[in-house]
Amino acid sequence: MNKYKRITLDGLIFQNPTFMLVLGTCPTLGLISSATSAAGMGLTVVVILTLSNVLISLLRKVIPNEVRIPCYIVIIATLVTFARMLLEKFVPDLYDSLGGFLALIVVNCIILGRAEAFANKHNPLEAAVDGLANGFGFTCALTIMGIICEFLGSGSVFGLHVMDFKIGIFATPAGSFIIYGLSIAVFTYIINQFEQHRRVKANRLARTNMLDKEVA
Amino acid sequence: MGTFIAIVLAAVLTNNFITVKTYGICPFLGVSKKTSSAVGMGVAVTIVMALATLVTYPVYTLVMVPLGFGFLEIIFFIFIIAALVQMLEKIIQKLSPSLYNTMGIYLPLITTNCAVLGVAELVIGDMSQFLNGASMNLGWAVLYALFAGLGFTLVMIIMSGMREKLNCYKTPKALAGFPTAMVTASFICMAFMVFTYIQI
Amino acid sequence: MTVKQFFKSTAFKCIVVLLSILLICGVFLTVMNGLLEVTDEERFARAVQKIYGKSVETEEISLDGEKTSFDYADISEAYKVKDDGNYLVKVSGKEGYGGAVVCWVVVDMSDDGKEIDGVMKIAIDSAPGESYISKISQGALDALAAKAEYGKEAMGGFAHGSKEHGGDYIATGASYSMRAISNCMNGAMDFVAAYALGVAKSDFYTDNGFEYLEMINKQETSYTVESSVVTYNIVTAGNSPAGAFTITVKVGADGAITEYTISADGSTAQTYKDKVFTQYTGKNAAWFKSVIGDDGKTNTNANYEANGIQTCATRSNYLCLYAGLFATANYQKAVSTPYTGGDAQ
Repeated sequence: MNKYKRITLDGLIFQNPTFMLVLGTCPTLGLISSATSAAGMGLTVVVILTLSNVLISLLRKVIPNEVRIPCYIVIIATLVTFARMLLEKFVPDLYDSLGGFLALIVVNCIILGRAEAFANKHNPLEAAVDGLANGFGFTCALTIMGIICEFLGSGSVFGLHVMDFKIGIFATPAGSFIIYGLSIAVFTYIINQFEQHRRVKANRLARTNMLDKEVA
Repeated sequence: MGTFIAIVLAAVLTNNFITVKTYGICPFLGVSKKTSSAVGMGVAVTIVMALATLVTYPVYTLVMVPLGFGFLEIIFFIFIIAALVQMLEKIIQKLSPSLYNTMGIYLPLITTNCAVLGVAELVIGDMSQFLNGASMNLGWAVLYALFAGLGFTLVMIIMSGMREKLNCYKTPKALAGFPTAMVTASFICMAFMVFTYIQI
Repeated sequence: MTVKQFFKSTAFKCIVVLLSILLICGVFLTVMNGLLEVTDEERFARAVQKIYGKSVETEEISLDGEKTSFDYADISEAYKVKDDGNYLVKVSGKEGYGGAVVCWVVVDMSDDGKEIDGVMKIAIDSAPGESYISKISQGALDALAAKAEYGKEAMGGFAHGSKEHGGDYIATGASYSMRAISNCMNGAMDFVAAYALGVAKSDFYTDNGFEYLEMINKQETSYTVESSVVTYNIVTAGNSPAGAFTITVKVGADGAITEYTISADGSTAQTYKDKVFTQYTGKNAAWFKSVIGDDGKTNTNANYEANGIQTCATRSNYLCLYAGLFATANYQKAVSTPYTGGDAQ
């Protein structure tokens, strides 16, 4: 149980692909000017990442080490093409708003990165949990930034009008860069504080233990 | 001639890959700490983009679409790009070891650079807004890819210059690295927004 | 390496695995592509739904033998919406900034299908060369559509097919594009009028070789001939900020004006009418040409000052002079051709 909790927390927070590892930057910057397309992109990546992780984990004993990267790419590209077909058929609005970034999920470093770093060394269940955790880490990050960016850029959230005000720059990549940069800063700051707090606590605990022993 | 100018302006300025399309951000943020490496990466990306388009565009229009396999384009394109990058690496290694030492290290990173796959996907899509009335062909496709690559290089160089200067200053711990780089990039984007007012 | 060794080597295993994955993926995608393919009809229905706001059944109208080319717009596709009898027209409006703007226009028909109520919706399809077009919001388009009324010479601040800029929308920075969009609406309504209502689009003046038509509303302008005296009832186009003028002009046998009366004043302050232009009386085509040029395009205050007809309303002045030029220059033509345009047809 502890193992899955660690995988989940790593994917969502401590190794968050967007804020901590800064992977998959192109779709992030391109799509956070609208919360809906950011969340749509995130959820598409969750599905593709989980499936690719499971498939690669299942095939990890079959695929020879020498051709593993081409094999991963074929699997990921197939999943992306399949996802694209599904979106075009059933969710055409999202398909239009994702535009070119849908095909570019293939070269999203998160997916190939997780395949290479995690899925080919772990069993399918762990790989699935890792895929879900990282995917949702990515989705949450994109959605949060999407909400901020869309609100500042067009005064609405998820396409719903909130108030009559807009700062045009936040509807362009320039605004996306600022929001993304500052979000990373805030996130890193919080994590740093948290780690420091934990280290202090651990130190104190260790010291009391030592004292206890001495007393004993 | 009108189309030529329209494509060049669109690729380099009005629809710059980094500042407008946000393609190829990983190398843009990762390899822009020094101007020399920014130039190396930019040139390598430009060459691969032009070559990739030279191969993928005819393969898609002349082979895949007539055979009805247009929907497999992502798999084919990524394979062609990966193979091309491998071949280029081997060729440069053979022909000029000195060039390989300066540029070769960037080549393996390019396969997963979305600017390359991005341009291959863009030129098979609707390009009418850049063509000024002309119809799409291989020449325009490669021209667009080449100048999109040069636009990428231009922004890389600007960015690396700014980051070299920024290195002289101390930044708060949380802001160091990516956050500073992104805010810098944001200012470049704002500067490039001026070009969207160009009328062709 | 023998053949047997090769089959046992890692290289062989690599090739087999890679090829089989490729094959399985290819087959899987081909099957899925067959199942999930979006047909052209579906794509079109989706586009219609986006423009129209709801899913509707349409029937394509064959454009063979229809009038699809107007002075200010060209029709490229047209559909009848079966559900409510409206028309969906794809039209390319001229006079934009960098060329034409292609729009989808839904022409709203009355319930009995015998009248055009106006425009229900406009959607921009493509606009090569119009970099400001993205600044036009759907709200502005809806407002423009709401103003459209068939048969009125001014639609949403733009005269019928005119080159006017449309002061209402100057704030978008895309006044040229807005003009092209207005032209789209006008073209779509004229097309539907000709197709569905059988109203022949009169081009009487152009067909009969009249000159100086640029600032003249060809629909509304008419004339009568009575023993070599031509009485024009001229309606001009707008010349922003000035609106359209309605002027009655009588031209006598010598080709000079005998009477010049402004009945509807288009000037911004509505005071132009009081500055009665007695100066125009007795003037002929040669005089008007000397003021506003042989091509009728010179519009400078200095010229007016030199001829002693300066007012503070340069653009209104120009429209009135243009009407005079139109009346006098076409005198011979008008005498020899009985008026058959407009509603008289």
